[in-house]
Amino acid sequence: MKKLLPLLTLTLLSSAAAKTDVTFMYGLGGELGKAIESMIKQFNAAQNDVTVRGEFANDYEGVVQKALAGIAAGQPSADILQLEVSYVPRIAASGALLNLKTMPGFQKSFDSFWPVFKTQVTRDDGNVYSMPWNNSNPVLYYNPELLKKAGMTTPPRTYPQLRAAAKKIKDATGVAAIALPSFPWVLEGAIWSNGGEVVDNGKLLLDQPAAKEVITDWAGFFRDGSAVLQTPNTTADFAAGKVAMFMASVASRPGLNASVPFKFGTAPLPYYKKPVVPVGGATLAISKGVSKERQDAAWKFITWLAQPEQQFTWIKMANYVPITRTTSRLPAYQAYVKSVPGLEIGGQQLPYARPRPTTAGYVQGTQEIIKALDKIFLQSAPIDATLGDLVQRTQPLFKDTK
Amino acid sequence: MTDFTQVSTQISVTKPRKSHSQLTALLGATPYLLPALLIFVVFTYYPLLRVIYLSFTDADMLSQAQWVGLSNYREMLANAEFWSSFKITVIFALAVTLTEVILGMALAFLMNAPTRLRTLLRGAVFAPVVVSLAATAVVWNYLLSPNAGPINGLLKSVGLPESGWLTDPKTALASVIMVAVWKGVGLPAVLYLAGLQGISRELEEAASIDGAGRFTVARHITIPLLAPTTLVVFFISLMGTFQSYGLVLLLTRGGPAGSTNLLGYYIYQNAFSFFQMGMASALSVALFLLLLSLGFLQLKLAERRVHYQ
Repeated sequence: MKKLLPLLTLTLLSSAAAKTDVTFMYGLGGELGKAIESMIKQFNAAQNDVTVRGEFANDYEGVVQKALAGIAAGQPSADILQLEVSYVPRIAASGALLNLKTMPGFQKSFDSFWPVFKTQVTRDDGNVYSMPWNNSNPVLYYNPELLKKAGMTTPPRTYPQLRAAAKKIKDATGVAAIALPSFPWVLEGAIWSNGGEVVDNGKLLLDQPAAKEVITDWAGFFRDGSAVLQTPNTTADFAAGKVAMFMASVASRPGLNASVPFKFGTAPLPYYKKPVVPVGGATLAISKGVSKERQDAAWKFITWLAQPEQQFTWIKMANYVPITRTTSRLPAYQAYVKSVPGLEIGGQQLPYARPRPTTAGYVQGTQEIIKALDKIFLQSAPIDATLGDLVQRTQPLFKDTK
Repeated sequence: MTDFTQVSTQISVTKPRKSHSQLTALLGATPYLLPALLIFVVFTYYPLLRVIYLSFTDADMLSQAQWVGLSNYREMLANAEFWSSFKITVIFALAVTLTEVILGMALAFLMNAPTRLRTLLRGAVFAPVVVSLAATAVVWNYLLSPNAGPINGLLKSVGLPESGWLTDPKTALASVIMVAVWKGVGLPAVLYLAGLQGISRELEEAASIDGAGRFTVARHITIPLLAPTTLVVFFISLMGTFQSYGLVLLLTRGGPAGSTNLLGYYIYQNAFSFFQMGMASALSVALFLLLLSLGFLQLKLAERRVHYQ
């Protein structure tokens, strides 16, 4: 036994040394952060080649800041980066991210994704620098009791119905019927559903008729007193019965389950002429500056996460939408979403989902849009003039957009 | 004449000796000073010089920076957003600083009064200073929530109109100022308390014997003698508030409608959200020069107006 002990120790040590350690920097906290750590733990337990270590960067901006610092220092801040979709093109253009098309088995993994997610991550040159993972689309959350007080048994399906419902709820209950956001994610879907575009041909198109019609309609909610601005407090307001409806990501559900004391309802996102929803969330990229061994190890983790079984485990914890068709078809997934009313909506909306604009100037443009919408919604600023000024001011940001 | 020669000889002999001893002292002290100096060079002076350099480039941290001369400064001065942010910062800095000076002094008088609640009051006033900024933001976000927040609930229960607080462009800046004062007033209060305890009681007693009331003593004796403390409080608060960005980042993200977009946050956004490190550096240099001038003005003012005991 004494002779065997050093041999055993050596074997254990050599097997441990053979493992490749990779770091995964993510930006989701709370319940979703716990879900990520759980996925990492499961991956580490499921195989013997790679050890993933999670690093929490506070939020998506935190991941970008650390990634930038790493790029500037010439030393990648992490092997795997969870990047919000709008940041990917700019960082990829700097050459800091690995073109994942060069990785083994890429095409097979990529082909399994829903088309909307393939479009989202494919750059103009056809290269792919990040793989879909935690992606979602927005839905309408509502308080059934407040709707009932307004004489409604079903949630509104279209924006005209939403407008009528909002007036009824406000009159019947006195509380704000809906919290509308000035962050333009949900608005993008509304504009597309009205036949418009957000960015095209080198400019922001919010001053065009289809977009202007939507913004005017949304401003109407504020002007007749049935809407309040969506803020970080909206969930608490909804939980306290002070707001009857709001539109947010399907992945908001775990947070709502933890804080809302009543049985809330979930409905598909309202639309104008045809149903369209925007998708959002983050994708997983690999730093180009790390060794080939680490790149391979990182790729192994990313492709593992995209497997239907892992996707299903992740969806159960985080309530994101399935990113692959195979996950959507999984009997266990289908049985699960049927067991929780409203959970199936995110997946059902995927056939008419569109990726968000990802042009380099859109991150900064978004801040300008928020300011303009705040002025229109909260200060009753003239819509035509404010949107005209917004488009004019943001022209340099979009001049290279095709 | 002889005397002069003797003196000049003495000087010419002692001067090298003195500078030699100074040099020896410096050499002796250098090993002790070096670690601190190194830290300053690496973490303060080098970044400062680097920011100045970056302000003349189109740096974005993603690609090789190119020299663009004064382009960032020209763009900054022509940008309405910069001027709006500058105006908001001046309002914020002056409002917070003046309130902290006045309220800090008033609280110090209360904290210095010989009451049974003195210790409790001192603790209560200073506690927010040690509370983390994140916790402050969470608590105040809840307190000021327009729909479910307890402050609006209280206002409503006594028949007063509710406010949008952080969500209304008309009240957002005032709300952030209020939170900043709550968070920061403890330090000026403690500094004033130290100042008050350093004032000789004989002066106040002499004035009282001469018939001066408490208010007159405070106005003509105590407050003027607190001038050095006021200078320190004013300087610390003004420098801090001009550079402030954390509170806005956590409470409002510069909104709504850009009404709380402080220069510090505007710099942060340019650097880390928009990848415009060159512009962010130019803005930082402008802020640095502004603070340098303010500091200089303040010191000049202090030379003329501050009385020391």
